[in-house]
Amino acid sequence: MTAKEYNQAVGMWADGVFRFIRKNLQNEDDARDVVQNAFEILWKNHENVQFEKVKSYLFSTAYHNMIDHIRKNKRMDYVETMDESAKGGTAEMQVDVKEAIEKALEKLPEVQKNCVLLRDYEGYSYDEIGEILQLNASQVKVYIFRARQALKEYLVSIHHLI
Amino acid sequence: MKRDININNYEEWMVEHIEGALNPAEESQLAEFLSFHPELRAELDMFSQTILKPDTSIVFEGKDALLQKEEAGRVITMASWVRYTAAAAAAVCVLFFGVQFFRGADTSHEPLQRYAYTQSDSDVSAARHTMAPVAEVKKGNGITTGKEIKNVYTASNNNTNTPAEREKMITHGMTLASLHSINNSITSEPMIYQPENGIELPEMQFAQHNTEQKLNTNALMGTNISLNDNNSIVDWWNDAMALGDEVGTVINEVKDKEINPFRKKENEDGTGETKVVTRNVSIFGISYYSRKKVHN
Repeated sequence: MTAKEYNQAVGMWADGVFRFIRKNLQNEDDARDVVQNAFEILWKNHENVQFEKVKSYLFSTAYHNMIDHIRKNKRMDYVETMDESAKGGTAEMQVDVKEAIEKALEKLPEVQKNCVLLRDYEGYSYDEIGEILQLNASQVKVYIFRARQALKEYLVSIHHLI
Repeated sequence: MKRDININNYEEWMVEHIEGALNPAEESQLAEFLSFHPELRAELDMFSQTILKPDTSIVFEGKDALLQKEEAGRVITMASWVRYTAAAAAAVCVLFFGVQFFRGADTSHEPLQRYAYTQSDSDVSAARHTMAPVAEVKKGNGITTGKEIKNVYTASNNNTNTPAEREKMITHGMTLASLHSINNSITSEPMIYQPENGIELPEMQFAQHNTEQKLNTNALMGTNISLNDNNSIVDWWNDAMALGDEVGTVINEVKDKEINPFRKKENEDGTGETKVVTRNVSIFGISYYSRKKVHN
């Protein structure tokens, strides 16, 4: 990949990678650091990375950076410290289904959440998601099924509340 | 393997439906199943709502900080590269020969000459022919006839080189030819060949020929120079010399000094000898040589 292609990759994928990481890290600055680090790694290796593979490379690198970052900063409790309002206790938050589903997403196990994010945000196939998250395609399919099942159950529950 | 949808597994089918993973037959099965269980349509709708939509308001601010210099000077055209390389080679060449051959004037010293060949079948032919081991040429005294040259040339060409060696020569000839075409892009001035007899020829271009044909060395001048013409023998040899190191090596390896005009040669009266020193250098496929006669 040339320097020009690297710069193209910045324009094409920086937002998507950031969005993906930002969904996992509630702190925007942390998410920026992770993404910036991923691009630094890409630049160091740009001569060995094919342009066709750069998106997958970026997401994979950013994801692993994020895991390292979470471990280092012991912020794995982000699911447990979720906003109480996301638990469906109040009527006003339930009106906005989109907002509700976003918050319900936070309740999912990390691996399920990331499978769904990569599937829905970036349109990755099961194989590609498996490559990024180091899973096999069957596992990805199962995780996505469980995630959607949990999200659906959540929507059903707030629907009943309404 | 055919699957069947039922009340215990319909959720998997619904998820695969919204994932677009069902084939047409399976889609029909799902539709049929829902026609029997219309109360489950709301559940399918809920599943559809689990598809996340990216929040495009979330962007990475300051992408410029991630950009790298594209180093405009790094990407140069082939033509420019060739020009720079050729210019450097020419400078080195001028310095080298300036020091080596023009140090101390010598009237018997021939100026630096440059030879190359255009890329064509004739070049391959020329390479094959001229890189054959030395043919019998005796300069001066009217010793050598064209027929003699032809016979020796044919013999050496056919007998000395293996097919593999000839192939190598052809390959080399083509390399020279391609590099010559590069060289032509550098200078618009024709290369001048000036042999000893004073006939000034433009760039040597070997017409496709064999030993039975005339060697057309100068199409531009409209003059055919025959191998039977003794005046052209030296030219012919110079052409062979011009192919560079390989030819020079071959010449130097010829054991029989009698048939090597560039080795020591006694004068006709048997006194003293004339020694011709040749030097060959190949730079980027362009061969340069200089000869120096030493009379004892």
